[in-house]
Amino acid sequence: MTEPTAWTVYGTPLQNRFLIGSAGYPSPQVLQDAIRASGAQVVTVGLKRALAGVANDRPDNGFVALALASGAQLLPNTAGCRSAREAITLAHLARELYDTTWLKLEVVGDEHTLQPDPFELLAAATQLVKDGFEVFPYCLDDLVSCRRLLDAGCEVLMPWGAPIGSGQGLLNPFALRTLRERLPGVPLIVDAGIGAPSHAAQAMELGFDGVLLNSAVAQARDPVRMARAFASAITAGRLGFEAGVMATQDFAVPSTPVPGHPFLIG
Amino acid sequence: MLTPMSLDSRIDASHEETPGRPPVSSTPSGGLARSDRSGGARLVMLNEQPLPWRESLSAAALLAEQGQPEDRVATALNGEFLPRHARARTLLQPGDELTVFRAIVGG
Repeated sequence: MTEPTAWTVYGTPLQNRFLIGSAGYPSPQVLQDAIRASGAQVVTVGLKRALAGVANDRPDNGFVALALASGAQLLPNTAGCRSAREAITLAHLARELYDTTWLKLEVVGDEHTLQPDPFELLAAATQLVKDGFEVFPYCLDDLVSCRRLLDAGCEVLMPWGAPIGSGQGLLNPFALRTLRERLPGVPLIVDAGIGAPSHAAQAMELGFDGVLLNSAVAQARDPVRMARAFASAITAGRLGFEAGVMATQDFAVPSTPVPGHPFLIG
Repeated sequence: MLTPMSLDSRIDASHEETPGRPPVSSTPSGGLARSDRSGGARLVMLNEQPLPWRESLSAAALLAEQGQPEDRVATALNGEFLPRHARARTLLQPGDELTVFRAIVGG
């Protein structure tokens, strides 16, 4: 078996472990090509208030139609929400607009870091699960607050790796490793902060089930090539995890089985 | 001075109940904010654009008159989700704020 194993989120089987965002691409064609290159089966989208007095405005220039045409499962977000109330309302709007119960739940608690607000997030998740949503919470990498989200009925967690759009990679690998260790069987997706393919590979090697990213691809000089790079890195990281990465050692351990010295000089 | 009216109260009770939400103070785009009501001006707001109010003006009618594609938008009335199926029977009151949302890209 040389392909990563399939996985399941809310009963939906997925082969690919790359979830990709649709924002910030230089053109619709590049977005379409990047989605194709990524192999992603899940694409995130958003909602925006329509322009006042402008009928039939197309605020996305057809990007969403392309995302739909890609055949991917759409994952609408609640980006920009600052309270549970806002997020709950926007979630209902999103469910109707995109005809899906999947929801990337974002409730931000700090403008500077765009850090998730764990309290408002939990309140929103609790209500939205009751309302029939399948919630993908963008959350902190804190074990206890993650457990509370699971208790509320979330079946997947999406902790941040670093602040959104920062490209800093995994700032707290220990916390992510702890989540993996303490929450076996729970689908875990690193969401936000990934900048380079190596970051994604690292997350996958930690045993995460998937990676969600947007800016790292959209802002690359060549987004399509970068999408391919991330796809390769995610596959490599997952295969590495499944194959079992060797244990680290403090000191050298010779790999070539040569006893003694090859030459006796002097 | 207008009294905020719950969404449920203005929908014919013989129909299924519309999920109501408490008003919210703001949204990412500011669109759900219960902004200044028009008071005696007898206006309704569509995405912060003031428009004339009239008797029996439904949310669906206002959207149609403004050329909003009914099946490609989602709506909130005074910060509460207004489902598509409830727009036709939801009569607007002076000072109401109808907010229209569309699909966009997102991360």
